[in-house]
Amino acid sequence: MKRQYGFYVELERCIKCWSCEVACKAWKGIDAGTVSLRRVIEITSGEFPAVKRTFLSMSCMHCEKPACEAVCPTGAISKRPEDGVVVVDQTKCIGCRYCFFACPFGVPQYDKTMQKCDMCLDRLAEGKEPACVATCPTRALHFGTMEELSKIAQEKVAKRLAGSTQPSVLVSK
Amino acid sequence: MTEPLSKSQVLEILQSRASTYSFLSRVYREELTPALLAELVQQMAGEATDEAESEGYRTLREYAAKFNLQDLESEATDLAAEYAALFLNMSEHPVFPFESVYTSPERLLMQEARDQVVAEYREEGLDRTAEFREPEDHLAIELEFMAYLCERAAEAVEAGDRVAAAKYLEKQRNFLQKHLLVWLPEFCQDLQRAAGKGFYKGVAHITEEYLATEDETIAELLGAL
Amino acid sequence: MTDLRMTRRTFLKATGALGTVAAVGVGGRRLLQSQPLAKALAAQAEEVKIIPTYCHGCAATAVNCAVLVHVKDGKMVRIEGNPDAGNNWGVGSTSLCAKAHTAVQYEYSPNRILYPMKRTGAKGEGKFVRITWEEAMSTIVSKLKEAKEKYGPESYCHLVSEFYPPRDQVARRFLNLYGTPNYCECCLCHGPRYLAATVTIGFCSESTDDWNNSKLIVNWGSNCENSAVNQGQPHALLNAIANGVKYVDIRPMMDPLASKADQWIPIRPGTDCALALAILNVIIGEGLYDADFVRDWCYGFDRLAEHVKQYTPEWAAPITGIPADVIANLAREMATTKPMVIKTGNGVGDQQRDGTSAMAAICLIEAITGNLDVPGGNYAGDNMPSMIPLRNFMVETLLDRLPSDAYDKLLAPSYPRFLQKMPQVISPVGFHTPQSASYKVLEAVLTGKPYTPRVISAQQTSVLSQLRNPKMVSEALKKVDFFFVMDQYWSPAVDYADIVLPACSLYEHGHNSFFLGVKNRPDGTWIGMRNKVVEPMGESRSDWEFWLDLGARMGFAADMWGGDIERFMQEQLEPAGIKLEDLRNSPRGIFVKRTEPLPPREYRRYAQLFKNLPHGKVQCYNELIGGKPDADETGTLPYMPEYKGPPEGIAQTPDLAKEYPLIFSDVHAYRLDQHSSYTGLPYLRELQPYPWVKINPETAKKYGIGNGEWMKVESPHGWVKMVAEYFEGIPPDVLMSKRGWWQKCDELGLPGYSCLDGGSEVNVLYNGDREKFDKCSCQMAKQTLVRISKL
Repeated sequence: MKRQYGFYVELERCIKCWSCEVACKAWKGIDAGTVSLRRVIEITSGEFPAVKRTFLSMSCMHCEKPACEAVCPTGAISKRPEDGVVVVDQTKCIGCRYCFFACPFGVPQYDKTMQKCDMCLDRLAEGKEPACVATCPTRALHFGTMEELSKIAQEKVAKRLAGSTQPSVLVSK
Repeated sequence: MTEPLSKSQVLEILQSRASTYSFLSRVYREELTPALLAELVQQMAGEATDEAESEGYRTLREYAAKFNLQDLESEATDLAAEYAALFLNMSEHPVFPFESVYTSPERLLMQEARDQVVAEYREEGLDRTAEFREPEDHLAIELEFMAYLCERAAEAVEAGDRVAAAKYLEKQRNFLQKHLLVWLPEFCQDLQRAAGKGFYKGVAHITEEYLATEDETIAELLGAL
Repeated sequence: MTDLRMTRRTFLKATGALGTVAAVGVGGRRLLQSQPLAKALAAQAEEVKIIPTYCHGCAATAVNCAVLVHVKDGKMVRIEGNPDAGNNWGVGSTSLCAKAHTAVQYEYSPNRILYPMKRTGAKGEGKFVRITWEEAMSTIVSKLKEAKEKYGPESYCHLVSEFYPPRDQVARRFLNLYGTPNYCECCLCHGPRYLAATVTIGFCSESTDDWNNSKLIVNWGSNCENSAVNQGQPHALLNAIANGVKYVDIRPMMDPLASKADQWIPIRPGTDCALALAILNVIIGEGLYDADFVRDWCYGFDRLAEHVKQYTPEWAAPITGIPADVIANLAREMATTKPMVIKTGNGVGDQQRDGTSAMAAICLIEAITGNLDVPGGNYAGDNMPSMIPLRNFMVETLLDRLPSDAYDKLLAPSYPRFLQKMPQVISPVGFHTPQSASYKVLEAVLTGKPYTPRVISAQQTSVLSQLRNPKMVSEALKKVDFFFVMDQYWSPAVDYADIVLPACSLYEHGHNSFFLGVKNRPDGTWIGMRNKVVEPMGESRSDWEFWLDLGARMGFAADMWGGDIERFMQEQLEPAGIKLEDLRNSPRGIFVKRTEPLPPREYRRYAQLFKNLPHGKVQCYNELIGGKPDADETGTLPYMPEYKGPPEGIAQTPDLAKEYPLIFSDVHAYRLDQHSSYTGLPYLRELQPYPWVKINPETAKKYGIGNGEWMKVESPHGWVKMVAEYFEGIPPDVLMSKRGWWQKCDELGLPGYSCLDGGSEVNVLYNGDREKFDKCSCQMAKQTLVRISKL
């Protein structure tokens, strides 16, 4: 692999504003009422008044060892050697959902065929960040090679998100 | 087995179709003036009522029967108010006479359908007039386009140019199948519901009924060339 | 469809005959024409243009995040933030909030009103016919002239949302030329708080520039993760937190930023005044105040000290729902952690019965702890001269052209008349004066007191959703002689109009007053053009154009730029020596580098900040407003902050609380809409499909209401239906909701909900009795008591 692109999510900076989720759909022209390729998830624990809220913006993890690629029966899913982005070839996908079941994070979503984040390859080609990262009003989302992200994240003691598939995602806190 | 149509019959049918499309286009395009309304009412009331007739005609005839010609201004105003409520968004539940709204998943204006019909118009060297500043897949424009194609076909038939005539008829068939028939049945249902009764309900029925005959008619015309 | 019983031939003949009749009446086709360039246009269709402009997302309240819109064949297709402008944290930022990304859905919503309309049928019937702009404008002009002649110019009142540039500038100018002082304020946001601070400490700062120097930031009733997502505040707060600042959040509900606080203090809605007074009690009582500052810069401290003795933490605890020791410790912390700044928002001061006192007390906390205009305190803002001087910060409104008795003719002053006559105190350019309170103006239609408004207009506001007591509002709109509305969509209030004017979308015009598009930065000043992205649909026009046109038709052309919007815009740029055309042709905007280095940041500018206050000092005992007539002129204003509490509350009306045991309030701003606007846009509505009310699960279960289930919420004033959203971050006796649910979303098959009883408009629940409003700035409490049941 020439390089592996990934995301670094600073949980403590996320305010659940949903801008990343909507920006992604708008950029890619995904219709409302179908799927969202990036979702803002909340994990709430405790009882009033001792409540903890954690917000996590999640999309495809572009894992080092993508489980989706391994199970895809038509070879529609592949991991690009030049940047590690995992993509779905829509011309080959038959919408069988095996990838959804295999993915430990339930990432691929069914909408006639399987849909998931592709790191906005069209934007990357122009030297721009993915739409979600570009729009985040609190700079909670970062994008770069795993190497670059590790450097930025050092201060925050960020860790790679756990998983046997080795997600290309660092999470702080 | 019916006999193939004669040239004059073909022309007559094309003429009627052009006229029909023009009528429907006119009705959706904007409100009816009092003068036009009066004429139409008289036309609608004029036909014999003992023949079997369509839902659309029955509705229009009922409307015409109740119409008070003495108070034309008031009737025209009422109808214009209904037009505004139905088509100009002056009510909580209007209908949207735009193909994109019906064929785009998010029910928005200016989606793929609009781009496609614009391409069709431009292929014929046509574009929307500057004065009408609404998207080009407005029902009135699509219907006007069909009327235009009828007229071009008629010209070709008059001139004895079979190839051109067939081309225009094929274009119509294509436009009908790719566009009008894709969204108008649903639109007409919505309009029937929203209008409730009266003129626009009748027109909704007529539109639906008319379009349902078009496939067969075009096939017949093509066969006659 | 029933079978076509007629033969095809007969059917065709009949429709053809109708068509022939139609053709006679029409005179040819009008929608399609021969276009020689049509084929060439077809070839161009793939080209994408990028047009810089400003976002629609906060409506035109003018946050003005600069954006880049992608246009393909005359059609908007995408939107991005403009990195050149300096949005949010600065140059390079392309961030935008969720609302921005609905630009295409916003622009191409099919619900638009595109043509002027006039009423036919009874008022409120909602029956309209299309007319020309000419007829619409002539009618309005004649009504305005008639009203002025018969009843005086004050009989015309204009309603709008809180801050709307076309109103505040060109409409204001028109109103002044016409002679009416009744520019109406909704009294729901920012204005009341701004006034309270200004009369107490001489300024109201929203600057976050110094937060990195703070040791304690107290977020009190501010909702910036909802109201100001991309305006820099959430970003600045998170940076400060990362820098080690201590962060305390005082809000009824644990909103996202509150969940990151060192301490979240769940205060009962509407009781902030009690808390602030108790904090003053502890700080003063325990001698924790900054004696030097108090001695040198506070007037009336001793009287304040005496006054707050009654407001102990023990007194405040049952009112606020906060334990006395928590209050006391908070007070000590706020006094002894230096520097400390309090970030206030709508939730404290703008929609409370004692909002003015609450805000004043909070300002006094900052003052007596020595935190005004100190590094890391309530910093009054950088003195950063703009490198692009504009004709005016706001367009000159020609205040001097109002008749001399205009202030006396104010129908219902939204803040005390005597203060309105002192624009130099309230605001240097007087743009907030004169003004009447929208709610009271509408009441006057029904009561005739002090006189009857004869012409009302509404622009960029959905009146029936905005104000309390929607039923009263609907009756007033129905009764008033002449009501005209300018809007983009049908809304419930439109049904009551006599004339409806189509406003174009924010991407369909390039009109603006430039101060909004200017981003002043340490390295220089950037200005961008609001550009028209696509042509206005139908016959819609911009709100700016409307006022210029109206002004010209009323005979004020000489003072309204001859009705020429270009002249209006060019005039503002003159001092900067920038030509409108040049700005238009500069897609990346124009940046003027700072020529002089910025002076070091200045602090403690007390002589300047307090110069308009009596004695040139902070008013602990307020002689500017104390003892003077209140807004209603039925009483006088207090010299010191006084507690009142909500009109209905657990501690305030305990008998009522037996029947209505829960406290209800609303968030005002929410990040997925602009109040009642945009709730119909698919991307936003799918994230909040139903009118929600946040409820503690324990409470909900007590009433047998499941998560996501419909429930009835009933106050002594009315009832609504809402969907329960379980949330642990809210006390068991509090419910928090959101207003503005009348928009439907066809795309998702979701309805709009009525603004009246039985619908989902929270304003139905609140108290609409003016006796229960704040007497200074007419704030209307957004807190009440409710009982709930499963629906």
